[in-house]
Amino acid sequence: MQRFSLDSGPGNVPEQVPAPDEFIVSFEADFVACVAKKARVEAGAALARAQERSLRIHAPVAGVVTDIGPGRICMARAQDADDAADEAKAPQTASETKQALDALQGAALAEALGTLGVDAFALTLPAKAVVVNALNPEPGMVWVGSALNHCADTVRAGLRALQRLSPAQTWYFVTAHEAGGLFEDESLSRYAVVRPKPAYPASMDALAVKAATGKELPEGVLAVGLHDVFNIGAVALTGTPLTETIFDVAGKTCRAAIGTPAAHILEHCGLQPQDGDIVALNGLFRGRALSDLRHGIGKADISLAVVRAGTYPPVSDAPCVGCGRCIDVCPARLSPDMISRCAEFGLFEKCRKSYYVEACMECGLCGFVCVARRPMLQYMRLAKQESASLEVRS
Amino acid sequence: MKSGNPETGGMVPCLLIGESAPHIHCGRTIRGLMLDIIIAMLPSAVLAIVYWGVDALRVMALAVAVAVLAEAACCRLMGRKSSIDDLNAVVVGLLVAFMLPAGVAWWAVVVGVGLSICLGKMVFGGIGANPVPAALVGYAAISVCWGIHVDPDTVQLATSWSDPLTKLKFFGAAGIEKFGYADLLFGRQIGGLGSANVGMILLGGLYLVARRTVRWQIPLAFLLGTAVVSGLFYMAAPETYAPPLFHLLTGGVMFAAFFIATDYACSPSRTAAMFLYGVLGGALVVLIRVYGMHVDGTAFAVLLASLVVPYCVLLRPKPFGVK
Ligand code: SF4
Ligand code: SF4
Repeated sequence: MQRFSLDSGPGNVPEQVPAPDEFIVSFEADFVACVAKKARVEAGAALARAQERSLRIHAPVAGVVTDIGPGRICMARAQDADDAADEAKAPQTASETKQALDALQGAALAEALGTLGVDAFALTLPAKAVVVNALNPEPGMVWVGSALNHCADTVRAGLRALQRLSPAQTWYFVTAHEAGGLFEDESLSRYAVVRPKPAYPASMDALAVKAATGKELPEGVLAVGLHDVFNIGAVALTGTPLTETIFDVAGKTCRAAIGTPAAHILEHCGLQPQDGDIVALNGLFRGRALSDLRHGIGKADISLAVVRAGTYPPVSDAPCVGCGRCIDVCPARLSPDMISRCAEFGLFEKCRKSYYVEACMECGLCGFVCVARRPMLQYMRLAKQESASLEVRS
Repeated sequence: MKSGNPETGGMVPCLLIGESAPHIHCGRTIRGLMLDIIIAMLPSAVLAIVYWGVDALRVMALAVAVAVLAEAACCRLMGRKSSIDDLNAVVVGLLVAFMLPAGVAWWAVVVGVGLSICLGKMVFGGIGANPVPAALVGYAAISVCWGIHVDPDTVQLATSWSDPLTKLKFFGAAGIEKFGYADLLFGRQIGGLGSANVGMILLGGLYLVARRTVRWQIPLAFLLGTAVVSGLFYMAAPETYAPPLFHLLTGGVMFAAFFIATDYACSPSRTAAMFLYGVLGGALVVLIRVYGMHVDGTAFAVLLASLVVPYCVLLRPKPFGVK
């Protein structure tokens, strides 16, 4: 197999993770809760909404609100909740909503999608071209293959809605998979399928855009991840609020209700974390390590993985030895060694002016190869953040 | 941090590690690289013991011991965690030993290795911060201050072999007629106890390249630099100058190309810069041998070439999307 292959083959039919007894639904800082503690909520009822946008987040099942904390609402599943009844309820309104969505365009469509839990506002911004990034984001991930092969209707619905959301004229679909069948549909004929060499870091948005357009950071080109397209499609296809996410765990694609705790998902997949393990959310190269297994999975989450203690040498604060490996792998042609050294000593101005840290794509490869086991990606992110704020101030 | 709530999902609470991404790693560490370098030096070390017996063993063991002790002492004085388990001190000690003749006095080993570790590496902040290869600092210091005590010709008396470079220096091309290339390749010459075993050094060097412990560009460029410049001299006056292969197989050229010039901290990392640096180092060897007062000059050639490395940033490509 090719090193860092992003081609996961056809993938499995997404496996439904059974609903847990407790849900932890998280949301962004600008959200306010629209339910009270101990309130009983129905499946699909709004739990919280954004203050400035129409965006909401919805209850995945019927249940009782047990706790409202900053950025999250905990819910206990109602024991009498009859899932079948929930689904059967008001199919009328759902199909009406679906028809209404089909007729909307641009900002109005984004507004309507927002009330159903999908954040599509950025997609309505002026753009000349849209690049759908349908590569598995990282090696080892499989959900893209599953989505394209087993949920083609959802993907198609998402791609169609995308065409109505964005004012762009040119459309690209970048993938490693046989996507021919997807585009037999007349309404999607404007998408040009692009198939770059499917090896990480080709899945970086900037590289997908380059593969499609041949240019580095061209203006007016918008990259959209397949996961976002999938979420839009799920709502557009059913007319019901988004309360699920598709993601992968240990090489298997699953679907789970949002708010399902990581602990529950891992247990369902037979992956009990032990002391000293790392539970990585959203990728081994770029994702974050969970410190709390009660993290409820979110709409945008794409992967959960467990790294057993002792599998890799531990990260250290060792100095750079100058081996140059990070330079060899950097897709942005940067000098991560120098940037990390400057960041280490707080020379953020230099990171930007002499070493162009803002070109970093945050692929994490420099950290993957660093023989000194320096926290390279962390240095890169710190340097980007700090040098950006320097720029704002100056 | 405690995580996992027995009330949720029935998980046992466990301590999770909150490291930053990436959460996976290629597995290669500094210690691993150093171990590779030590392995690559073994064939030549063994041959040195075969040729020079306990003398060679004594120098190598003393050098390694002094290097490790000096580094441990420096770490302690600097109030930082000991770095000896990354094995870099062992490598530096061995590198110095390889450049010294087997008959060298014990105090020269101690001074040379001690200076390499303390002045060549630790004062700059340890591994990765040295502006020139650490091993060269001690070696250059003792060969400048007590040249006669580290000169293979003066300390290696109990042998019928001789130093081909001395012969070249004082007798010209006529002086080297008796050296067969096979002799040179198998180390039947006097010089550094390890570096003179040119064939074994080449073997170890190829291992390092195959393992990608060192990049092939630097050794190749270095050897090319030596071969091309000595070739030019040889073409101009074959009766005065030695042929290129002679230069490649004598003194520290092969050793420097694979083991010294490839020092991570003070060699460049991008292809164009690596070639520039390598060719420059290789060319300087010949120039020093022809015009300089040192018979070998490899060490000084690498030291000089290191000086251009800071300017190599000028040879880097434009970053992604930067116009
Ligand atoms: S994360 Fe590292 S390797 Fe990746 S683009 Fe940024 S600097 Fe380069
Ligand atoms: S990989 Fe690590 S040790 Fe090597 S040059 Fe890059 S930062 Fe330095």
